[in-house]
Amino acid sequence: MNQRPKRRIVNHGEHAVSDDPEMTFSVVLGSCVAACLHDPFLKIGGANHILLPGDSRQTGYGEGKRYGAFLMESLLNDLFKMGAARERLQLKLFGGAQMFGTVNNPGSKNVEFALAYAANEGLNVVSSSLNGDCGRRIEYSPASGRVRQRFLKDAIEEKVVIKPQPRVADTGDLDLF
Amino acid sequence: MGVADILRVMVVDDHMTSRMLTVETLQSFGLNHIAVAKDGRDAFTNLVAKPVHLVISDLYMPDVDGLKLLQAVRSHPKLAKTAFIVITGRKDDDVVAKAKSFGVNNVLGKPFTAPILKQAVESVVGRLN
Repeated sequence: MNQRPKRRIVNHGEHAVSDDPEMTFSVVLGSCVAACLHDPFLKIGGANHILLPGDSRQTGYGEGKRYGAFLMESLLNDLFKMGAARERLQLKLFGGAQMFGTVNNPGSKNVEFALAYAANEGLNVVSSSLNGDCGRRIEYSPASGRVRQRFLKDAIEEKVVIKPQPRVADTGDLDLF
Repeated sequence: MGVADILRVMVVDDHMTSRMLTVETLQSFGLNHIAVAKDGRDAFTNLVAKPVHLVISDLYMPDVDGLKLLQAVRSHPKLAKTAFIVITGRKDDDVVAKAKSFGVNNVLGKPFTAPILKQAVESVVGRLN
């Protein structure tokens, strides 16, 4: 019997872990960043969805940085509880686009935060797809560590519609007046 | 001279970024005597050698976690009266009850803002400035 693959959407401010080979985590990203962590030995993994809102009244990322650190820590702690070892963990980072209509470029701040966090915590970044100017949909299999990425160009690009010009009737006659 | 000038604090967290954020926030309150430890074992060794007034410890840490550290502090004659705040990502009732039974002074849920941390510290040691 064919089993339907399991799918979970990871929304803003959420994280999820699994060892289920059928499970796929789906994350839709604009200026947000998703961290996908995988332990290849135990075949377990997890992902989060980091939104650092930024606040012009505060320096740096303001309190948002604390939420990003919390989401990274929650993800790591849940993986450690499942037996993951920090030195085995493979980190893949996605997102941080500069989306149309956003100010202060939160995407690049998110990227800066994620890379600094990985460096501070000694996490091994094995691949990344960061920055750019369009959204992404990430389909992540936590048990295999595989990620499928699709750029969401249609989501932000305005479709240019060229209206057909009225055709001038060609009668072949020349009118003089 | 206010409490902030003389208060000695130890921040215990296995995640460097969280540790750094807590230390930076405490510094913004005017605290200057801040020690750090990366886990409960490291913290206890350093506390015995150099006691502090207040310990702010993460709950979940590998090996010796926040609750084990709290128990060790409360049962050590030299450290028993140290003020202790536990920080946890999951502020469940049973965790809070367990921490209270071990003699915790305050429990702080993550992620917290700077004013909430200040409030938690001041509820234990009094007004900082």
